[in-house]
Amino acid sequence: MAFTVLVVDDNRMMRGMVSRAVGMSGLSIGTMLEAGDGKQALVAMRAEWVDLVLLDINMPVMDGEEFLSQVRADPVLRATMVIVVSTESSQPRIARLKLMGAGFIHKPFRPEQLVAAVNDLMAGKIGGAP
Amino acid sequence: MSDDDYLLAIAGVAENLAFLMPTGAAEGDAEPWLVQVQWVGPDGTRGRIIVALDQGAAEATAANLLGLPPGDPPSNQDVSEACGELANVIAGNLLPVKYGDDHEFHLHPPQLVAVAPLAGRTVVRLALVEGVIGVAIDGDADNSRILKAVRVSPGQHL
Repeated sequence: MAFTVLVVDDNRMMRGMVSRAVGMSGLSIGTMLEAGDGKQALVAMRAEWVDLVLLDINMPVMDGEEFLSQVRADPVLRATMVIVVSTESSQPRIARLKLMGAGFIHKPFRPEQLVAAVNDLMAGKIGGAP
Repeated sequence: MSDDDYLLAIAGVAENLAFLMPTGAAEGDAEPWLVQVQWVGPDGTRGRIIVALDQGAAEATAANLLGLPPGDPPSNQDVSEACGELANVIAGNLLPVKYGDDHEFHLHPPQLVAVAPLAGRTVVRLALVEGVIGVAIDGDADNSRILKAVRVSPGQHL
């Protein structure tokens, strides 16, 4: 299976970094998409099927937490795998994100951590769409 | 928290995010690239973290984040965006070191600022093979003083 991956981050360099990490991860990648905030990401997901979203939290217009809430409330998008890639360290907020079925990787991260997070999501070890 | 705790956190970000090579504590200023990240915490507490990079550290950060080949210098825009992202990640990693990980913080977008000298309640400087990164950390109590010390360039959100 080749994944279509959507990288959501307001910093273009970080989008590039995350995309390169995905490329080095050994995951089978079909298409890489990018969005600069949650609103753009929702538009992208409604235009093209996305298997995996790598999501920043602190973003303008629509932050990652609001985006994740909207994805989980959408009957078409709700099962999409989402991994939050963030500097976030607040355990209450991380717990909230995991309750919404998201994996979590702390910035900075290594490509192998990304692979582990994807594998955990696919194995149902983390959350799952509620 | 000791300065060593902060230095370790900053070194971890520099090494793992920007592939810089930390060598220990540094002396002296790290300007000219200065970025502030303001934060809001529980019960309206607020503060700022200012990250200063000298030219070597700033250019190396941009080149490494972009994956530029050796000898291909980054543009000023690239350097400012790279410094902003590095500052953002440093701030996100320092706040739990200072306050613990059971609080929620909102980080504002990084901004280029001018301040001389690097001032704050806590100031630490990390030496790298590529240059120097300095960080000033402030919480509530120092805000009035720091607000007077910092001049934010309008429209300089990164």
